[in-house]
Amino acid sequence: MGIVIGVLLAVGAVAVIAWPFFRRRSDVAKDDIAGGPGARPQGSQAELQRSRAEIFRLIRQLEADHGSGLVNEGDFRSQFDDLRREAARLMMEEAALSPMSDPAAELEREIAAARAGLTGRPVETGRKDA
Amino acid sequence: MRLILLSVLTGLLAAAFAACAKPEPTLEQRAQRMDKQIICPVCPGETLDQSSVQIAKDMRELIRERLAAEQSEDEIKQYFVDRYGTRILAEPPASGVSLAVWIIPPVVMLAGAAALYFVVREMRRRRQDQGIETAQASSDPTLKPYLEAVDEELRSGRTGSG
Amino acid sequence: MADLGTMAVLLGLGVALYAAVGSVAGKLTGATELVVSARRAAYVTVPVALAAAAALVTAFVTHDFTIRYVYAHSNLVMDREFIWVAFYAGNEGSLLYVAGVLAIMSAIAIRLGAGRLADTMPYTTAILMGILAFFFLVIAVWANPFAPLEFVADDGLGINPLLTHPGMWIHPPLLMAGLAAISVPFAYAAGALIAGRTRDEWVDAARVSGIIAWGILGTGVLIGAWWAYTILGWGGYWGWDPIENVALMPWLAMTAFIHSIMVQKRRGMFRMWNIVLLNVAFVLAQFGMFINRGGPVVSVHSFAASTLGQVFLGFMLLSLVFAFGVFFWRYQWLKSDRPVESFMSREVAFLVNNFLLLGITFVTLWGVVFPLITEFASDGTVTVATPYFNRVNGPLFLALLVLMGIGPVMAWRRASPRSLVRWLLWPAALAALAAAGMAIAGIREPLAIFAFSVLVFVALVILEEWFRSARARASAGDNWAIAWFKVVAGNRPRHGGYIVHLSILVLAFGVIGTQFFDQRADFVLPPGGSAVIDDYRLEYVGSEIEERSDRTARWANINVYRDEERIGALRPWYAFYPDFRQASVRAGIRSTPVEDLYVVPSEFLEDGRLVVRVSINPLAWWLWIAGPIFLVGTIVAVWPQPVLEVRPAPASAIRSPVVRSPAESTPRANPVRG
Repeated sequence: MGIVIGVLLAVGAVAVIAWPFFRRRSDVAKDDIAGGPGARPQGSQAELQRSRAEIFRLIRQLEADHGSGLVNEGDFRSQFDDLRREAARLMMEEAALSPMSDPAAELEREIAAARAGLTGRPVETGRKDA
Repeated sequence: MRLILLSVLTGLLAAAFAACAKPEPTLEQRAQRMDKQIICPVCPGETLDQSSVQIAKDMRELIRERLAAEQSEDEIKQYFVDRYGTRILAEPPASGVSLAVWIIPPVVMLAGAAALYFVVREMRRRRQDQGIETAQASSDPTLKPYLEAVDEELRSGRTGSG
Repeated sequence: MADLGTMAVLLGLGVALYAAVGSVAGKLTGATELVVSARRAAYVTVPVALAAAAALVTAFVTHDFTIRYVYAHSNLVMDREFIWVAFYAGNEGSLLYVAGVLAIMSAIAIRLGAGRLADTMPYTTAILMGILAFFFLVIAVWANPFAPLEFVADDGLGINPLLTHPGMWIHPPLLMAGLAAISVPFAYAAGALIAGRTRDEWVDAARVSGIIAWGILGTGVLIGAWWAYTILGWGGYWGWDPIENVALMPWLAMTAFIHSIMVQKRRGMFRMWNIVLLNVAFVLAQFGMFINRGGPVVSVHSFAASTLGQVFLGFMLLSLVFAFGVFFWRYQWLKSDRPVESFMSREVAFLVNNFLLLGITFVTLWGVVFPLITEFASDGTVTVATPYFNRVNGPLFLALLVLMGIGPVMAWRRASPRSLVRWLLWPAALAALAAAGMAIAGIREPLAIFAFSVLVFVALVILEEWFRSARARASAGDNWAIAWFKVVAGNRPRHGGYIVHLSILVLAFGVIGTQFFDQRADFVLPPGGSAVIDDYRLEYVGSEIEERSDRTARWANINVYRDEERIGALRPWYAFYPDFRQASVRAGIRSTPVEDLYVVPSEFLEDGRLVVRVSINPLAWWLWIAGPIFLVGTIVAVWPQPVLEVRPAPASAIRSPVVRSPAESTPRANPVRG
């Protein structure tokens, strides 16, 4: 009984492990990238965007620290400026990487941007020196 | 205002510790202190204070008898050391080979503190060399449009954490 | 079932080895199928390990005494609910448990890393699977729980009576899981180093998995303390026993790591240092496995003497060489580009925190190995026990507590002395007031008063920061409770950390109370007799006896009076297990937030008298309150922050300069996201 289960287990294990060798290479590669639930977009551009999001998070935390008085005005200004510059630098790197943009899509985006400007979300930021 | 507060604070602390002058410990308090310094011979790692076996109980009684007979704590300890060897002491004596167990930790801590100090000082020195580079980077004109984009994004509030 | 178990262990060994070798080979040769196949192999180790575990549990439940391990750790009469825990009552089963936990954690770690850390995961997989293969190897060769018994037995030897306690369900599993889990952040970091991705991609994964491992280990240690308090019968909860120490040391090193990693996350600094801390924690965890499973140290925990010492020592040394080998190989890539700006900064506060934590770790390690060294070096052995650790580590812990109050209000980069005074003055003043109050109230231990007032100080600083941050939010219109929740949610790692700090304060409150103010006394009571300790009077009513096939258990019925008013009854328990020639006790505890009255029967004499040891443990109640707070804080700290969406960079700004100049196009060309 035990031996039967053991053999089944072994056969199953080998089957699962060997499966990728019996598939087309492209399918395997697709699987490889979509390997995890956290599989966020790959590539250095996405990486740069994530880094920028992190910087934005730091800016929000800095603003909170400034609000509570943990960081004084002068330090807040200088640290805020450093972070802002870092974000801009990341954005510049990202832009340098992006492929030549398609004019039609560019137009679409510009329209969308204009529309967003019209509906006008309320401006809200903790920054004092806007 | 702050100065007053500070001086009141120091005064309070001083008063607190002055008031803490310990009264002479009672015989039982001394005995309980000794219980914690002697290891039970049959249960490894436990002090007399921790052990509930018979021999530990007998040894506790012995300590109380001898203290009552006005023997000093050192004499009682010596009695146990003569019978069971140094290992009966929960703390190694600060002499001979086991001096090392006391010397090494402070030496290592001091060395560590010194290392920490010099490393941080070294890291600070590097800052002066770098200051110039950052100053150059900040005046980079190509960054300007992106700075504005960042400001725009910050203002939009979309990236806020709520 | 023994056949299935043995087959599963061998299969696990083979699969783990394949996963380790395959993922590196696949990565180096660029063979995607091989990498994917190796990853699937890593997942396969989970059902394989579970099958082995199930086989062992089945053997226990069916009392299969043809298996030596089952024979040695269970018998027909033992309580049914402990048959399950007999699984890890000895070395062989414990190792199988560790293998199972490691397989599950590795699978989760590999799955979660597959997206973002795709480049480095093959190496991480290889490290985790290498460790797992080691455990399967040990089980297969040196400690097979499925090895047959050489003779025919009708009944087993039974389980060590000290292990039949509810704590057994949680403490050893958590401790072993915690030690195993430290492999995960280590594997993330080492994998990233080997792959040459020495920037900060691994930081988040290692931080979160590090905190989880740290939380599991910490909870395990706390539950162990609770267990010791209720069953080992000495009124203590922590004995600086080697087995306790080897669990504490990796925990301390991980504590240093999860603090220091915040500096890397926030400021991109201390890259090398964080790797060193992880390496130290990982090697100490292997040291813990060595002492736990190999056991050269005589210890109250030495239920499980074994001959595995050399194997685990070898693996520990291999871990040491591997961890630091990789570190020095990639050393020059780890330079951080940001300098420390001031001694008065949060960065340096974190460094001092690391320094103190590692100092305590070192002292503890030194106290564990020193008796071993002297045993080799000279004839006489020495004991390094509780008083030594208290004396040397005590001041370091106190310094750490003080730092816990100052560090959080140090600003990043540089803190101005003025702002520090502004933040710390009121907490310090109130703490001094509390000290004066305690002195007036008649507490006569200056050190205890100082320590208590440090707790007040730190708690007030935390509350102050919460108050000020919430006030800044509340002024925007939220009510205070919501404002506070938003503050915590806005920076979970930090505020979760503060909640953990509070739990440490609560724990320290209990530790200081029990360390400085405990009282003990021995009594011999005839039935109807009374004992007086402090303002309690204990009346021994009599005893009850229960004969079981494996033990003789006796309860002492004791009435507790205070000011001649009956305030409760205690039923401490004493059982003798003839087969083990061992007694097991369960203390009678009357617990209040002020103090515990703690009664341990040490003997029932022939003439009916009861020998009893009574302790008063002030504030011991708080020790156990710390646990849930600790867990809450840990969970808050690792709870994922929402992912921030950013707009893609304006591509046209650079690439189509002909259309328009960057300056005018950029602000407008921001595409809008959903």
